[in-house]
Amino acid sequence: MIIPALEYYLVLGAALFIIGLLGVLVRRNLLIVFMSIELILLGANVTFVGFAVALDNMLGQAFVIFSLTVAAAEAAVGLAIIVALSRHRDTLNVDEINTLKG
Amino acid sequence: MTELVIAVIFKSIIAFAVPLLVVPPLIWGERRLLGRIQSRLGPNRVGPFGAFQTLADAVKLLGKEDMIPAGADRALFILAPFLLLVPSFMAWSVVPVGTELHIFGRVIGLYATDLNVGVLYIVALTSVAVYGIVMAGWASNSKYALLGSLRSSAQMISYEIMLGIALVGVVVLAGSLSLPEIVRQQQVPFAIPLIIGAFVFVCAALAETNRAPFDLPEAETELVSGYHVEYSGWRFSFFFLSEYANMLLASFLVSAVFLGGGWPAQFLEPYIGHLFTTLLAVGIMMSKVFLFLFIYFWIRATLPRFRYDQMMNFCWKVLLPLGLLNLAVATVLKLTIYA
Amino acid sequence: MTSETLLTLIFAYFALASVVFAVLVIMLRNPVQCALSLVGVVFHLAGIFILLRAEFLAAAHIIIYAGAIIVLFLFTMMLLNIGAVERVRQFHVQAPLAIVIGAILFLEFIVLTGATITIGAQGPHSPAWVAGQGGNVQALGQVLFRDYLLPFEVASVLLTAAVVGAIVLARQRPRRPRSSSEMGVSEWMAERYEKANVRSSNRPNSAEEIGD
Repeated sequence: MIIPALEYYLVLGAALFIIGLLGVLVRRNLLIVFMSIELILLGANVTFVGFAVALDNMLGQAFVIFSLTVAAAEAAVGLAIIVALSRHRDTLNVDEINTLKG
Repeated sequence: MTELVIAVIFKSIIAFAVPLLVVPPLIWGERRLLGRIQSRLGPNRVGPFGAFQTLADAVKLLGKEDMIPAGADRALFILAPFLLLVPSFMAWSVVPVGTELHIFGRVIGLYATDLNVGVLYIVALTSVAVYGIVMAGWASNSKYALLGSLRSSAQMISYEIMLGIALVGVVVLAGSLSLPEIVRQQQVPFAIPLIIGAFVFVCAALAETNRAPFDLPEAETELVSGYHVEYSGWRFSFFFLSEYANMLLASFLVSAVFLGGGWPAQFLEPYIGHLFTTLLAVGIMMSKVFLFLFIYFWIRATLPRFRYDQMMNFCWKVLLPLGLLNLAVATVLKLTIYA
Repeated sequence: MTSETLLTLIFAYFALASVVFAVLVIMLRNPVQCALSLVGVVFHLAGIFILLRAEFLAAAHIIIYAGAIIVLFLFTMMLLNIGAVERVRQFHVQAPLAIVIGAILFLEFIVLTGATITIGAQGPHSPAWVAGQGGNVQALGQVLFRDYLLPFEVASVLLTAAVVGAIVLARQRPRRPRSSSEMGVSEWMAERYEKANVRSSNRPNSAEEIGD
């Protein structure tokens, strides 16, 4: 039993996903690009939980825990990369970070 | 239905009023006690034994000019005290003063709500309280405030984990995340089998509330007063109020979760009846709370402040292994004695 | 008012608020304010999860996202002193194109969800089963530690790897003669101090900061 209908939750998840995607495409600040990736993951979580409740299957909720794990790991490693990068290049602008060799 | 609504409103008002009413005498008590320990008098001018000193201070603070420093991020500067105060008051809605009172044919829970995820709710709110401090430091546009909030964000997210690990041991033994249920489960206070967990929890609670010896974010001697240097007037009083409300909350949690709430009052129920047992249990609970607050002040008067690296080493190299050991002990006990 | 309309209204509030905050995350100029908006998103999503009776996930989202990840973001910003980059042009040249494509993708999502949702067979974990386990937390624990124990352990390995990786990455300091671990705390603080000083004195922006 799910109130309101599953479609509402799917649209919400899709909206968050698209906003996150736009953030990744549009912003130039690396930190905000990272936050947009978190938004994408949040959108996926909403969809997971919505389906889990609509289908009476706890796997969806269990999967959100794995998604949270991935988000935490990604934030830890990603921010470490950002710290190393900004010490090295003194910029967080993704347009200026365009060489593979340091 | 209307009775239920009235009960809920009444309990909410009490849950809101407790920190507001207890904090002023608490501040006065701390200052008197510190005075005694340091061989001086403490506040003794306003009212009998200086008891109205806090009220006088509050009036003074409310009358002061409300300043926002130049170059501050205005929106965040204004928001920060609320970000700190609101979570510390929200947490009170799940704190139990006792279990249930059966009176006039009704059952009245001595708590505002019995959330089935009460422990998680408290942990979530403590993790949100970091934002108030971080934002206050960031928005002030002052190096002392920024340093204070840098220190505190590292300190609070580290010790929050220890708080959680200490509570996991209790949750394993009680088999529930609801605080009244944890209180009910304690035939023996959990501090006895989980003495390590209680130690970890008390240290983490000291650090989470930024009290001595973990008061590095404030550190009057190095950082003037850390993240709230730039705040004055009623905004400053918000920081003060939330610090003491958090202390009171930590004391209530230790008493309920580790010291068994009203234990051993429930064993007297066959002899003195339900009403007196419940009242006695609440009395015992409150005395445990005030005992713990006394220990808080005592520690402040006795221990010097940690250095930054000592504080971090203590967290990750002492408390984390102890917390995991406590979890192992709790699991073994759950499978043997508590099975 | 029936409870169903009430729940729909609550859903509408949480959904709208989280979308508005999400838009703020990608629109605001100051990264600190962006991070705070992200906290707003997480809080309102926690409300959505409570509406779905997933209390554990609501609390877990607040603890992990608001309590750990976003604080880490803020910590990084303060460490790197990000406030100064505010003046730089914030958006890519291709922003309008990206927005058009995003809008098309979103419409596609809506059309797809509206047209072809056929709910499959109901799973084994009905609300009655969840209540029988003692609530959402207990039910989730049963599923996670009985049926999906191996993935759970693998996730913990992932976290350990992330911790090690983060430490390895953040320790190297190419431009400085000594690593942070060799530097005393007072020196480290002095360095931060310097940076804080630069920020508060609002130094004139160099040409490349004002930007292209």
